[in-house]
Amino acid sequence: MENDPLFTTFSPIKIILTIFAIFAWTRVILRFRDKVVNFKELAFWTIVWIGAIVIVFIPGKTTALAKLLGMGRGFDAMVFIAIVALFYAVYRLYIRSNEAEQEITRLTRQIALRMAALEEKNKE
Amino acid sequence: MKLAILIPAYNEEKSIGQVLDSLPQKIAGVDKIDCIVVNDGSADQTAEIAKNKGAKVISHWFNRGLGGALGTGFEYVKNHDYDGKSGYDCLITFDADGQHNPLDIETVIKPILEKKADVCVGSRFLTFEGHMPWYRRIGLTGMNIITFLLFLVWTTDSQSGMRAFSRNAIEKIQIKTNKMEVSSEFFYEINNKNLKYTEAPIKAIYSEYSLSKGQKNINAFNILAKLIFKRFFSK
Repeated sequence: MENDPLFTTFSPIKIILTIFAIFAWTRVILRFRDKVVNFKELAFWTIVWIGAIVIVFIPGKTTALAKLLGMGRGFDAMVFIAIVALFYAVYRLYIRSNEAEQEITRLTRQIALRMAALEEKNKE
Repeated sequence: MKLAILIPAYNEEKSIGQVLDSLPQKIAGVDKIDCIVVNDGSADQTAEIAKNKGAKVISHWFNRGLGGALGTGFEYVKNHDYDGKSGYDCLITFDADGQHNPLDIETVIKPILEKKADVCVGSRFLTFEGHMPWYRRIGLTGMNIITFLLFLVWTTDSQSGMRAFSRNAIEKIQIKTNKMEVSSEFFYEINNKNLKYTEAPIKAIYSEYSLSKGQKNINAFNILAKLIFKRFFSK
């Protein structure tokens, strides 16, 4: 279990994730300088991204996760979680787009009805 | 007794004039008949032709689909000079593609006039006259089963475009879906608002034109997704 090659060795994915976390953290610092985010938010995101880097370098964590879910390999667990998250995201998007569609219809309806009422008034 | 004939139309310039001409001027037991065309963002001459034929035309700026158009018509009829006396007593929806026989209007509104039902749907399956293509028959039967499973109202023609409503139904029904799934949504409302439902036999006139404007079977999957959403997930 400890020799899951993707996460125990010093693999490219770790470097990519680390670089990404540092990049995201610098964005937060820039936004803090521009006073878009306050100190509390800066502290929060600093903890999040440093935590992310630390987690990336803890060996065997995905394997532990896989064990928890009753799966063989850490990679499987990651894919499983990613798919569930994606399904949820699609579901949320579906609701959002449905709501937006209904709002557009309501708007179109009100405009149409008001125009029709105006027309009737002008006739009289 | 005031009757509103509601015709949703989207790019129907080829048929709308003929359809409006064919509508009955007089029906026994009805004092006044008004034609309301909801022009659903047509890019052609639909609105102009309908206006010239004397129909009341309400125009959407954008195309919103059948449900959007019917909802607009319902809202217009609901609020139109209604002071408890002078509003419409009955509303019937009618397709603009010429697939309905205007003589069937009388049959479909009869249960409403006699106060025997709140909603009466003109079913193309209660009579064997008129030839419905077999593939369409299969698709429609599937939709009937889906409608029953989701909304617990058994109907022989859930997708029919000819439906009559009483004043009670006009006031209670709220249409929220936008597209073709509206046909089944009516049954959700019938079930939900405890409306009395009945059916009357009508004859479908299938021309090449009306078939090309109709639903394709493949669209059933899209409708199904929307209906499941409506049944289980929407507020």
